[in-house]
Amino acid sequence: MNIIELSSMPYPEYTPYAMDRWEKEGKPSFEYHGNMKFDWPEMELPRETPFLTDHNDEPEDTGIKAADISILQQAQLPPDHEFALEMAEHFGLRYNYVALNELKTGRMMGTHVDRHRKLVFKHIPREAAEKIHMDEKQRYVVFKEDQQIGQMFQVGEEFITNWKAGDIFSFAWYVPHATANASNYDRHLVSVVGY
Amino acid sequence: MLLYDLISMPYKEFVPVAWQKYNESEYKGATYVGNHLFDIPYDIEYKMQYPHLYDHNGQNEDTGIKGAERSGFQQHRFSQDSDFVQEVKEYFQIDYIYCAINNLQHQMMTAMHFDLNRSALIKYTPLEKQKKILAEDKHRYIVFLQDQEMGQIFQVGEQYLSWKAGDIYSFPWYMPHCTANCSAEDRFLLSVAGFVDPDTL
Repeated sequence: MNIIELSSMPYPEYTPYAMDRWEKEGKPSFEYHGNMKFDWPEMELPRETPFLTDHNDEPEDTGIKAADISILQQAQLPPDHEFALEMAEHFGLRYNYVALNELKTGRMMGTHVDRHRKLVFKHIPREAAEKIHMDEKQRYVVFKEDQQIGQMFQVGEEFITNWKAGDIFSFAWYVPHATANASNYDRHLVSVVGY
Repeated sequence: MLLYDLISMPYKEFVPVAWQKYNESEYKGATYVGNHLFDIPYDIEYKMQYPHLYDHNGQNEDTGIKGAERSGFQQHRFSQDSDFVQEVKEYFQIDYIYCAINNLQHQMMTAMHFDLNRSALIKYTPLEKQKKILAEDKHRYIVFLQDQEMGQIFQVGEQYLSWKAGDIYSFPWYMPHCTANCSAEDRFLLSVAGFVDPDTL
């Protein structure tokens, strides 16, 4: 299946499809990819509720319970932004979707599987997207600061533990994940997705 | 250190003491105690509690915990004379007990904190016994009442717990912990804090 077909599924259909694949693959979690130094670009991080809207920022019923309290502060970078290009070069991506995420203390993101439709429908030419197989997706998170007690990031059935600033982790497109911040410190990461 | 002296501190003063003890300790997690399926009475009522906003008398307290106003869960506190409390006392072999079922609803969390469990000592332990109990003599157990769902997270020190229904963990008074429920299901656990009669130790 190509990424256009995959990302065209409504979320309530996409989730069981992804979960089924995750189980067939033996419930994988994450991989560690080393550590990188980077300068966090200082910019405004608007409030986002990604489980309530689609890639056109129109309301969408994702079926995720209490989607209205899955809130994060996020800057979605244009693909030609200097920092996005720096990340794309580091990870060898032709097409990128890079976001700066801040999960404030007391916030969480419910368990979900990402679709990243902005990348598929807006950042990649249609005829190119039709040639990209869904398994070619690369998905990284890069933590900005050392982990604090109470900052939780679950991927599949495992937890990322004792992360340090600059640590890079990846997981496959079909892996469910969740994050919560029960610490006294806001938690920042760079989300890098691409092909 | 006497537990009474410790928990008589305002929470904000207690926290650095607990952190110091935690940082000095090599033990930074929970101990698996075993598995037991308690006969939970299901016809009980729950009340929403925000324990980081109030003291054991229900009076406002500034704990300094960020996100305290969002650290809420449904709770049923068992009365001391209930059959269920007697069953729990016998199982854990403790004499004075605080016992509650906590329902952390989906998409809720409890911010990282240290337990004072002031009710267990001050309300449920006889006055003449209170000042004989050492901090390390506190018994603190959590019993998970259902299998873990993906997205249900319970962190104790540096450890993330995995559980099945009936699994019991314990941790000492100085252990920071927190919990989040990123799943679509509510998460129930039995929370127990208590003491053996110090005159029998």
